[in-house]
Amino acid sequence: MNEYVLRTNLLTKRYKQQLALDNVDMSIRAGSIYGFIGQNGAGKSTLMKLVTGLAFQTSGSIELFGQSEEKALIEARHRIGVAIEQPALFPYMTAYENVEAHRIQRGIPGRECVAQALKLVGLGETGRKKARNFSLGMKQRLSLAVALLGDPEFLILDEPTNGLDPMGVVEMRELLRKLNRERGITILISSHILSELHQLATHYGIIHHGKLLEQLTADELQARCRTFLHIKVDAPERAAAVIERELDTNEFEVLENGAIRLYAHLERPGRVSSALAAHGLEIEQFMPMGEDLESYFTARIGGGAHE
Amino acid sequence: MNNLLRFEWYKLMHNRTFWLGSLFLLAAAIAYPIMDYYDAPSYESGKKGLDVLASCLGGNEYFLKIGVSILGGFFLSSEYANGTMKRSVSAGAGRTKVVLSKLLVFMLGSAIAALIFPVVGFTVGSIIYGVGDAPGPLSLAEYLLRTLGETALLGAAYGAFTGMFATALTDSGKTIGLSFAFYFFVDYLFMLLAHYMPFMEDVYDYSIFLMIKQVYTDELIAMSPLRIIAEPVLTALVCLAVCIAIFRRKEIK
Repeated sequence: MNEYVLRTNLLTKRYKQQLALDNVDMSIRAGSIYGFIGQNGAGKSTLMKLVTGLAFQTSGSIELFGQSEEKALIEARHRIGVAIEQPALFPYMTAYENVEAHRIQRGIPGRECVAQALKLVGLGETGRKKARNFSLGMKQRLSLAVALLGDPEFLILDEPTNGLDPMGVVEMRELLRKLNRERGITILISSHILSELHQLATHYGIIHHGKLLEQLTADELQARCRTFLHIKVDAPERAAAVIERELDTNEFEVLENGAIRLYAHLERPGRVSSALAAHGLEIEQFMPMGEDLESYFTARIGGGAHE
Repeated sequence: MNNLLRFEWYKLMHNRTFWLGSLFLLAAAIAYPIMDYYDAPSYESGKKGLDVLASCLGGNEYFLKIGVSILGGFFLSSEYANGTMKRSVSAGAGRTKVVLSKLLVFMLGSAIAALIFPVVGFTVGSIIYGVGDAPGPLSLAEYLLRTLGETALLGAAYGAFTGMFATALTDSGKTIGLSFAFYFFVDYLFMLLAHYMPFMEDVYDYSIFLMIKQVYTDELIAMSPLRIIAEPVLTALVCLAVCIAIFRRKEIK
């Protein structure tokens, strides 16, 4: 088995004057859940389209299951399941017919897998209802059922939680985790709900303006997310002066809402609270906290100004 | 390729446009000879089943042009809007096979649709009026094979031609609209072009656009079997080659 399911080498895609992907070197290890993070238009979908053969790269190469030659790459795509952008369904067919159509297309023997796939995503009881009458969440589930046909080794999912209700999001997360754990399916997933990705992904890739800024494991992310003391007092300016003078540090920031993030003296919080109290400051909130994926991502792309 | 062809056939069999269109043609084919009979009974008109066939083949030109345009939009182009084209392309089959399977099944569907009105009309007409004698030196079987066989081939060729619009435009509305406009003005277009480029008249004379007007006339009887087969088959092959060339370079959005 290849160590990597997917590797791209200097992958570049240009649309006329616009550089959608800029020399992207991405590696996805077998068995991982790779959370792909980026703003709208950052290049996530473009990369997924190149990998799945929907678009053609301007330069660079793609290696899927160790295959990079054109014919071998097409053959390797038999081993992937795809759900990119909006759910790809035949609106005039029922859920069963949609999955059955794709079973025929992929040449998968036996119809049992159709009912199994539908049951797996919770659509076993939709009867004669046509896909056009499904809610967006149901369409997303059906799209995943189709992607799961034929036991793919690699799932490529672009915003699979779009349109799902909160329970649906949780169920989707659990399903993907189960598929990864029990069947060893490698997953490349993009989502705007970073908190969701944070609970699911084992690896991350951050893309911005077509450049892959960083790839890191969940452990590395954990280590890099800075922890701090979250302090809220009645007079933040005076507290800032106390911290600077009494605690001899400028490793802190005062947020717009008046909260203070102190990145120093984490091992001695008692000294911090004592210093503040000694100057008559009323402490409203005082707790150690850590950055999450969202704040890390925002900091990494430089402030999070949306395009 | 076999899986892809079965997949496309499955889709066609579930396509409501195909079934509604076929049912409409079936109803029209049954109604036409019956209404015609009540309008002018056979003892007055001397009409026979083969005359009904000729009339049906005449009207079929319009049904075929409208039918393939609509089916092309809803069967081929709609796949881009549905997103299902993405799945087809990313499923591990080469692009040539993907587009070829779609077009071959679409051509088969067009051929079937092209036959409904004349075959059913002829059958009902023959029940009402009797079959009649084949024109010229041909036997009845030869005449039916020639006219209906050519109708099926033309249906497939028109399907392949519409496939070019569908593959290039990737939008149901545009495919239907442009196909409609093209088919209804193509004769005038050739006349116009022939005015400036005389060889275009020869092109038109050997095109499926004229052939469809000859399929129910004595001109078809006089034509060599080779030409009858070659015109639609070559047209379809050229269209398929163009579709493959377009699709292989197309980025699926």
